Amino acid sequence: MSANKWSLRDVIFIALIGVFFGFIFWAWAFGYNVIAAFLTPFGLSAYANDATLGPWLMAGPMAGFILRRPGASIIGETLGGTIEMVFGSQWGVMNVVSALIQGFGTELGFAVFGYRRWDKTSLSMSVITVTIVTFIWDLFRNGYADYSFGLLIGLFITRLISAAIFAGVIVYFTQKLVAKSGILEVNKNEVVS
Amino acid sequence: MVTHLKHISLSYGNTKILDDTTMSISHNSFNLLIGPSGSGKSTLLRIFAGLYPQLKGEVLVNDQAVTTLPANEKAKVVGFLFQDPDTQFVMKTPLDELIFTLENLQVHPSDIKQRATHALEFVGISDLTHQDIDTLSGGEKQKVALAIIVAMQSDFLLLDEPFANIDSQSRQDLLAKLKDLQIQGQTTILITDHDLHGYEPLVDHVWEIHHKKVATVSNFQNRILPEQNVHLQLPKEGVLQLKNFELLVGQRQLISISDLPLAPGGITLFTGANGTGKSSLFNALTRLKSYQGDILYIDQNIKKFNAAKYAKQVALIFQNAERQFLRMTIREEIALSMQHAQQPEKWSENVITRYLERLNLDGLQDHVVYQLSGGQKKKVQLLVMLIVGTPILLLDEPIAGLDTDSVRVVGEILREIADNGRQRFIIISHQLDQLRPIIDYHLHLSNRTLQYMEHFL
Amino acid sequence: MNPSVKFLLILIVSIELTFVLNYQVNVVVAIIAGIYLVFSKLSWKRYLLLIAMPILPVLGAWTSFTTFGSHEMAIIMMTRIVAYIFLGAAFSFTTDMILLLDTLEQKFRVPTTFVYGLRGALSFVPRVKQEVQTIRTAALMRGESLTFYSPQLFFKAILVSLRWSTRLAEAMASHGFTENAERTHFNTIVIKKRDWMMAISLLVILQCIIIYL
Ligand SMILES: Nc1ncnc2c1ncn2[C@@H]1O[C@H](COP(=O)(O)OP(=O)(O)OP(=O)(O)O)[C@@H](O)[C@H]1O
Ligand SMILES: Nc1ncnc2c1ncn2[C@@H]1O[C@H](COP(=O)(O)OP(=O)(O)OP(=O)(O)O)[C@@H](O)[C@H]1O
Ligand SMILES: [Mg+2]
Ligand SMILES: [Mg+2]
Repeated sequence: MSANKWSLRDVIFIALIGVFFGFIFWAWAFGYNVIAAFLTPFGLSAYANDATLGPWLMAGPMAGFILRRPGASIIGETLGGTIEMVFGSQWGVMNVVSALIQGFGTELGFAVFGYRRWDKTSLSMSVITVTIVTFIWDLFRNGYADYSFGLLIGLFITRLISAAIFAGVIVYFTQKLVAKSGILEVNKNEVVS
Repeated sequence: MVTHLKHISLSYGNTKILDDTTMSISHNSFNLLIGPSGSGKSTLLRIFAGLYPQLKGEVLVNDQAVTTLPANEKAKVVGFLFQDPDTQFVMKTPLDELIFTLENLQVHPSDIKQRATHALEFVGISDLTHQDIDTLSGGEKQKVALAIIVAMQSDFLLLDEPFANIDSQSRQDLLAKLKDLQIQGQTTILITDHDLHGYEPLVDHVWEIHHKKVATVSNFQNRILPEQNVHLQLPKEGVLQLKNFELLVGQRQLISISDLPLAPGGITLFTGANGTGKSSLFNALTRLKSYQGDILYIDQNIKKFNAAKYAKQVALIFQNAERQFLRMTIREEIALSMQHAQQPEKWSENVITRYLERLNLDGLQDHVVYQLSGGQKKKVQLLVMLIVGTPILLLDEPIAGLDTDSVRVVGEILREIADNGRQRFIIISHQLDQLRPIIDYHLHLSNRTLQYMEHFL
Repeated sequence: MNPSVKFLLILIVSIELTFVLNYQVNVVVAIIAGIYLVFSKLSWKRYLLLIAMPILPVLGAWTSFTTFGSHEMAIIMMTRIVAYIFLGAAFSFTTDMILLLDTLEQKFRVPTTFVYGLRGALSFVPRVKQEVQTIRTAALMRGESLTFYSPQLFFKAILVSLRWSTRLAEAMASHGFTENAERTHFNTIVIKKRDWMMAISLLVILQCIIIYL
């Protein structure tokens, strides 16, 4: 894949990752609702929001960390959110906005290293940036600003753990499999006269 | 006008596929390209389609250097019909896809409708104009793809095993249409196929890839298998049973049957035209698709089994081989199957080596499965599922795209295992001739009902 | 209303609601969106869904904010959730995505590579659910069970995405699609002046409501 121009194949590929994750997100919304329902009687549904966020953050780092190019995270996550909306979700158009912000958060982590490092460090950084960015967004979006400081710390840590597992560890191991299979390099690159 | 390859060599990494090949195709002719699996037929077509611009040598189609043309110019010169009917379309309906294509070629909007309609008429699918492409059968999709090429008015048609998943009626229809197109439309055609039936009256030249070069074939007739009639028994029992069974897609009923045994001991060949619902039945049998009525496995409703346990009884060989893979190399795939093999004692190191040799896969053990040729993938897929050894194995077009030698070996292997009583097979295939020698029963699907046949139609 | 105008309108309103701390505004927006939905003649299943969807999140917001936050905030969040859901439905239940993409191509000059790349991916949406199920069954038949957090499952999903995208890109190229080249248009999209006027007036009315409430 070329360094800066987006080819048709890249766009379809990344949008399809979005489709798959859109579906998995969409299915995950049921999981979210079950967990939320369980925590609601205890007034803890705020924790549900943070604990279950991880899977929704995956499309961005998946696209970014596998394709390893600027913009992939933000585009991947946004397309994922868009397609989740097409599947029909309880958050509607806000899916696109949230996804854009989540993708931006992930993108930031890779941008910090000038898109030159693609390893555990930059992936970890993207987990941290996405946690911070989405958390700031939720101060407005979900009225977190109204919560006490102690609760905010608890929520932040919960969110960081969820992001680390899904947008970090799982993405890391998936990328390893992809790299090993060589499916990204086949065809043109290997063909010689 | 000149259409040729000159001094083309191509390697994938360190493996040489073509070595200083030259091939010249006469204008407005019908060409067939044959050769064993993995010999480089698809590769050769892709070179003609200008997909490898980095190669040295010369690729000309009707005097034009295709590798340097942009896609919208190229489409007018070469049209490509792919093997997989499912991944060729972006739009919802055939008409939309035609409009999309003609817009790409910058045809004036006022001419688009007329050219699209004409193409649909030429291929004889005007009644599919507005149908959802998702609901078309494989054969119908290939016809739509052909209509698009007609509308593009491409000079040179490349077809890579376009009939591998197509029933014989559709295949004959399509071949006749292609011949029309060649003669009326002044089109040059290059097609690859493993099944040589029906080509004799049509082709002008037959080519073969041999020792990394392309050569013409002279004794073509001798290679076509003679037809023969076989009488078969009707089964009395079966470990699977359909009871008041009904299969629907959307509003459409695919299959309706009150009582039928499936998977009698041995090998059952399962046929039916494209889109009649064969793959759908397999999906129902493996619980991938919902259905009405009951499916019994040894007198027990299959819905009562837990998923993991049932998967150890009835397994499926997917039409698409890559779906079956879970590891990276052939060696790892085999090791995984060995872990869960139901009769590991039958699969000693030696036995496996022997099978790999027979299937022409030896030496490839450390090859990444995703980078094998289409035929090689299918053979690996088959082997790993045979090692798992579920009592019933459903095979969805296992020999589509295999060369004659491989088909023979696969047939022998299936026969041996069936004769040992280790597994029962049900095989979907459109390549009847090649399976005729090895089968015990023949199940046919038509008019929404399933019936065992005493001989071939 | 043209989908792109509708999208912009709903997007702006949604973002605005995020920053407005007034439950009455949320209620007004929810009612307007609700009326629009009633007039859109959806299937009864969809209406049922619209009633069911807010229940859990609204309850969740209520308990969280009455326990840890303030009473006012609880009411704002509950009404906001309903407004979001109705606004979202007013777009996604009533809009033809294809028309939206056509508009983006012709009117907003979004690169065709993106427009048709997305369209290609969309054409696979109906197959995705089946594909995920197939991947899991294929693994079961080899004695492995893939959970929704196993890298294997994601790897296969990526593999399928890659295969489909490669094939589809080739097929599109063979149908003459050239990245970001000129194309003709069989159906020309026009955005009516009326649509813009309508959207702008709705926005102005909303601003007035925000100021006066
Ligand atoms: N992208 C690739 N990278 C490495 N090797 C490849 C690649 N594509 C094909 N090959 C190898 O090149 C050889 C020729 O492949 P090709 O697909 O052209 O064969 P084919 O004659 O079309 O076979 P089949 O009849 O099975 O379709 C095969 O041995 C295959 O393993
Ligand atoms: N989701 C769907 N909606 C509507 N029709 C569908 C759907 N899925 C499949 N079909 C249709 O159901 C029919 C049966 O499909 P199936 O794949 O089982 O056929 P088949 O007998 O295996 O054909 P082939 O020989 O081409 O593989 C086809 O006409 C197909 O277009
Ligand atoms: Mg081939
Ligand atoms: Mg089938």
